[in-house]
Amino acid sequence: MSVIAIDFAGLAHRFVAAQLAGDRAEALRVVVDDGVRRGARVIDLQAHVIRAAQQQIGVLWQRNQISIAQEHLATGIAQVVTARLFELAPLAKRNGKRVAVACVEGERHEFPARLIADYLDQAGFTVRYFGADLPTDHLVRELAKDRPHVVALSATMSFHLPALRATIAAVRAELGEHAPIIVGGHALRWSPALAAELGVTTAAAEPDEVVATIQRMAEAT
Amino acid sequence: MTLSEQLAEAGPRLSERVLAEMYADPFWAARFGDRGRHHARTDGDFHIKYLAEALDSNSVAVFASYAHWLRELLVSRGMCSRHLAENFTLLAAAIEAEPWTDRGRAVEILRAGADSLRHTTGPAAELEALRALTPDTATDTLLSYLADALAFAQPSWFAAYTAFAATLRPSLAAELAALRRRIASEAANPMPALAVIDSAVAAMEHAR
Repeated sequence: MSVIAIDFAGLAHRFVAAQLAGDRAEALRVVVDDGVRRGARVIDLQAHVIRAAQQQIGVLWQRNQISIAQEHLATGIAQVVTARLFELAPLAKRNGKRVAVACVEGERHEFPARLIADYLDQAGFTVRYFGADLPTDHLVRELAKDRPHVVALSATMSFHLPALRATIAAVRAELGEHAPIIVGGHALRWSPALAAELGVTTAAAEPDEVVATIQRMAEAT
Repeated sequence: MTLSEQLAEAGPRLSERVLAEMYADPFWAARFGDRGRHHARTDGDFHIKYLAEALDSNSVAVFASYAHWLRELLVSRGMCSRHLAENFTLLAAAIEAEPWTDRGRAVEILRAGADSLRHTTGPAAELEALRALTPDTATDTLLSYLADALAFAQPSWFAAYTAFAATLRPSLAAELAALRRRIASEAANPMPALAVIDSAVAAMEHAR
């Protein structure tokens, strides 16, 4: 397998077209045949093709260029392809660090958190991924058992920020005042000062950067 | 109870009041029908949620970011910026009528959100300057649709509105002609706005 320059923007463009056509096979061809088999890293395909495509789909819906049904169809395809990509991803040797990844209670947009979980698994972390809308007390009960090195929380809508605040308080009450917590999701972009106010780390958009940040946080515990 | 908790509790009642006031204008039922009423109710619920978060985090920016995001969603579905600003202003008035001692903070955020919807660059900003001198609602609404069409480079949005408004108001052609004259004489760079008006007028004449 030779590594050639990969045109991620071009792949994302084709991926969106496949999503809008409802064509799962073509979407898989774009990322597997024209991505993985040409030497692209899975982590880059996840971030710069699938996530980029999902952002584009969101904008198309916002601008009334596609319907909510098309948006759901597109997201369904992104999920299938994400699962397939994860199967193909080379997993680094386990590094002995545990990370819990969850959406805060009420948050149903799980895709960004799922990608973070996938990035971390590929990088060697032992990941427990809790998906969308987990009641805070259930999350805390799991954390009490597993005692992860880092807790990663996602909130995409601003009105889930009260849940984010409550989750952070509950995690600290269980794991200690200095438990390392990293937060991500669109809601943080509209409230850029919030992470500092809450004393938590913000997840960067670039996958390598998120992984490196969580690595540092895990090593410091 | 904090102000955001009071808002959450009173939310449905406040939203219903605003909805009733909006729908007193027959435009809404004629243009968007029951589906519009349903979406307006959902949006009213979201306004309150984002307002509550803006209060809790003491950040007007949260609400203004939401307002800008929602504006793009609504103007591509047949509304104009003025409609959203009016919605915020009506909600502010409804909150003003509540007995909550610190309600002024919520009113301020809503008014700042409404103000933030004024376009600030390019030919759309020139139309905002004209809007500031336009007391009548019908003309101000035309100007707001026009400003949105320019700001988002979507002249068809203005044409879609005028095609619909013409079915409600026989005077629309005369209104557009008067607006055209006013923009031609008062705007520093009138050409982009005039082109949008002209293509809407041509489409209306073609449809006739």
